[in-house]
Amino acid sequence: MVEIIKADSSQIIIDKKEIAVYMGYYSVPCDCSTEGMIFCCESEFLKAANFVACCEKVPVKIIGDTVDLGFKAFSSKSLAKNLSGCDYAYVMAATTGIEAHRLIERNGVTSPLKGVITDCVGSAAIEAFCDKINLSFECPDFLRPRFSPGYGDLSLEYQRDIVEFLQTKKNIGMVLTEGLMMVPVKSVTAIIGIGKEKNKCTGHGCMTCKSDNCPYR
Amino acid sequence: MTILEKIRSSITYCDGGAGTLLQSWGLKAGEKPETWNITNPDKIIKMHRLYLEAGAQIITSCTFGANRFRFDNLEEIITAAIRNAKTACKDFDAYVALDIGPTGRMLEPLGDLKFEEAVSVFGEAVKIGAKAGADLILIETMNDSLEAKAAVLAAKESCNLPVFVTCVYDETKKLMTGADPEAMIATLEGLGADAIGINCSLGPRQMLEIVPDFVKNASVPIIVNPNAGLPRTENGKTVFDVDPDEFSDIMCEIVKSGATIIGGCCGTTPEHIAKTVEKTKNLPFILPEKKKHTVISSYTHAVKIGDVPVIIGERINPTGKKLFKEALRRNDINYILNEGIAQNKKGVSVLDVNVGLPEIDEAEMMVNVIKALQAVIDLPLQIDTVDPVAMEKAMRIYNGKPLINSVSGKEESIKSVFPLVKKYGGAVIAVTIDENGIPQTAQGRVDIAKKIIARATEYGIEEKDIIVDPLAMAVSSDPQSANVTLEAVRILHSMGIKTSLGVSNISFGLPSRPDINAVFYTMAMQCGLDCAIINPFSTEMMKAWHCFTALTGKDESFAGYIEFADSLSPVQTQPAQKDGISLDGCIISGLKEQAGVAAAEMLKSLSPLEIIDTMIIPALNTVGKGFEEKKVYLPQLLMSAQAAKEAFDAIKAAIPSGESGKGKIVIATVKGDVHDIGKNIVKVLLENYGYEVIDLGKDVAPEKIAETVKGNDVSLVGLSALMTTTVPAMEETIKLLNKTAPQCRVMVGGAVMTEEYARMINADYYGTDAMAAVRYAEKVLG
Repeated sequence: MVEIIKADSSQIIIDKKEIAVYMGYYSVPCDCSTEGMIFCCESEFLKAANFVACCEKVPVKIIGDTVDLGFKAFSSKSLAKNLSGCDYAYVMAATTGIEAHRLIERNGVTSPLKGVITDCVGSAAIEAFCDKINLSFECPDFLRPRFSPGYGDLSLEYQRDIVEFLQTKKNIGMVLTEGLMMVPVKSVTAIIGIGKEKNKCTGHGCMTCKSDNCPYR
Repeated sequence: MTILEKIRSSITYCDGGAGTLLQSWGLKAGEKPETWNITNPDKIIKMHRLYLEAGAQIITSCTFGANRFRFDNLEEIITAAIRNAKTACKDFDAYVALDIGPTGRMLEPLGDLKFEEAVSVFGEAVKIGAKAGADLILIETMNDSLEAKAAVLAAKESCNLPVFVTCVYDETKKLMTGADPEAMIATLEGLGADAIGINCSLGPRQMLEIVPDFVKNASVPIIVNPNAGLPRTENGKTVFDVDPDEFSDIMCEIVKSGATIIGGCCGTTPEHIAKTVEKTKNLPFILPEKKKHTVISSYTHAVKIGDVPVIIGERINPTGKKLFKEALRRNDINYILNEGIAQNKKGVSVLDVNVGLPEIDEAEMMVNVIKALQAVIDLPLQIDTVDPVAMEKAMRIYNGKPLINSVSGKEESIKSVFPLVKKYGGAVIAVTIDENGIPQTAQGRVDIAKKIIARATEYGIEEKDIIVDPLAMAVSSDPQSANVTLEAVRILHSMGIKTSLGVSNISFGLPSRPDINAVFYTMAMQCGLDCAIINPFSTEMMKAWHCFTALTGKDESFAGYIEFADSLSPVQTQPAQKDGISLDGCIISGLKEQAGVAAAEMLKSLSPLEIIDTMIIPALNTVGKGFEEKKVYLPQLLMSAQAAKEAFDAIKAAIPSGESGKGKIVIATVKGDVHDIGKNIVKVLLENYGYEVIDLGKDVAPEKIAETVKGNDVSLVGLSALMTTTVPAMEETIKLLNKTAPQCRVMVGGAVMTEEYARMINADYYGTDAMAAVRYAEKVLG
């Protein structure tokens, strides 16, 4: 059964360093005026955001490079590796909501600078929300890093199956475009394996991806 | 008895949930229930019969997800579903509703589903259902107001059956896309829905809280179909926490509150419905009262006309505005959006939208501007055009119930405007002019108003949706004109008719116009004026409005007045030169306001081109070089760009006409791609460097790009794509450009692009960032 999880903005702790990384400050701290703008955009974003997610625990069967999650068999070497040894996994979709989407658009119109910062705040915010959801799952220490369509060799096309399975439009107001983009922006779909031993991997979200041409790496 | 007679004579019962029952009979996870209409018709009929035996009088066909996006055999499925429902109803006095659920896609401007495609998708299902013998159309579980509108329009255009609509509200009483009940009621009643209400997501207790909003604002019967509370898993099975006893108890309260069409949604069973019928059948039947409120709405909220005077911002209008006209010719939607956002911040309640210019396609521009405005601004809009084609296209895609400007007393106007208002819903400004011109007397104008209202009634449009504009005429050419207009407002107000004025016309030809306008505005409000189209940037007008509302008890605790008064305190800005910061220094440091002041100061001694060449471009180059060397970061680059733009704006007026920039560049995010932040950064920088940028926006078809390139003699195009899935559209665009404009160079960029990929799709250049795009433009265009 699909479970709906909501969080109040006050419960979301956004990692400022992550925002700075998304803005290009990979190895140096950002300057004071940029920090000030991040602060303003963050509070504006949190006011607009409506953090809501849906998830369902599913059985995992791995045969070769195929991962059967009950509702769909996923053909992916990377996912098979990520879920290896797991009997169950969570399939989840999370979003920061349509008002946050509109805010990013609006700020982009009035000031490209504000648009970029709000966009980066949104990216960090959805990651923070996903972290919070993962902590609420049973045995969070045993969870594998979140794995999303588009990571490694897991085709983006699988987003359609996840969105259909979780009925994301009805449950959290999130849809895919024909080009597989998520609306609202700042939404995530992911599969999280439940391991049998404590997870030693410290990476999460996009940081576990092997893409080498991503501007945030 | 027809279904419409039935819902107006007694409580009407709908059925309950289908999913739980069908799953218990073998429907597998992920299996589409609609297919059971063909593979397991007996079980579908059995389900319907269980609800009929429980007392349901409206049976919902098993077609919730039946649309062409999900099924190739749509006709077979819907026809079988209606047949199954009708078979089940054979021995019962019941009606079959064709169930229409959401498409699963999001409509533009938030998503990529075109409005007309959505209408076509719904229309296809409705036609099949109506042909198969459905008694009514039930559009349900809508969580996007625009999708609900598309579905209602499709139903109305595809059949003559009654249309019922229920939407999904959350605990904050809003749809997923933001509309509250009042906004949805205005929109759906405007479109002619026969019954409206709530279903799914919430249990009966939470819906009980929303019913009063419907009772207060709706005129048509109210539908309430709750879930059986919240779902949870028990021993691997889904169970809901509100049992039939509790459910039916709360449904009694819901009926007592004013709902007259009731049933259930997810998790409810025949037992929930049976107990509900048993406990509510003898309760008093209370239909909602017919409301007389004049209401318009956006995709989030409604604005009531008739209490606090409503300000309609007049700035989205090219009349007398050189820059606005230029923006329209350049298709610069962002310029128009900024006009809207700025007026929103000034406190207007409605935005007038007029984009009429002889040399542009007004209908196309109107649609584009309305979509763009409704992506970022939640105010209701006033569609202002004399072109009936533009008016209809705008009313069709408008998300909410619009204000229409305008109809007159002329037959030609009445015949072109009123059928649109009747079909799409809306309140309309009625100007008191007819074939004989504008009457010189107040009574003459009132008589035209009465005539327009009488004609509206013949079209089925209620008086509440007519707002009369008795026309403010220049007092300089007729000293009595203000008195006549004010008297007309007073008479109309005393008759309960709503009024509006384009206030600033009164001062035409006089000096110090804002002073005259503000006093006239105050006098008109004192006579009962309900709406005014004004310039919200006029301090005098805003003073008049704030003082009037404060003095007439319409500004609770003077909160609005105090905030406005505070905003009038002078803000100290230090001229840049006083601090010893030169224009280039302002740009390098990203000091926006100071850069504008410094540029204006420099105009006293240098020509605009000298300022650009010796100050602005070198400063931008310094910052750009720092960015390329990774010593300056994106925010700083953009701060400098904003400062440079401020400087450009300050000197723009002094640039002699005919002196062109460095060349034209078309930029666009390719078809299928709805992210444009990167493209917008490139645009700002290219403009900074003096290029004329034709920004086609996002999700742009290859044909449109090719057509613009050809029509404007453009030799450089910038394309952006964020996802691997949209890169093929980039390749398609390049192919078309190579064919239709082989001289044109194409640069590409975006998160997924690489040098190798760019080469593969035959792009001329791959830019890693915005500065790289500038450097390539310099190479191609100089």
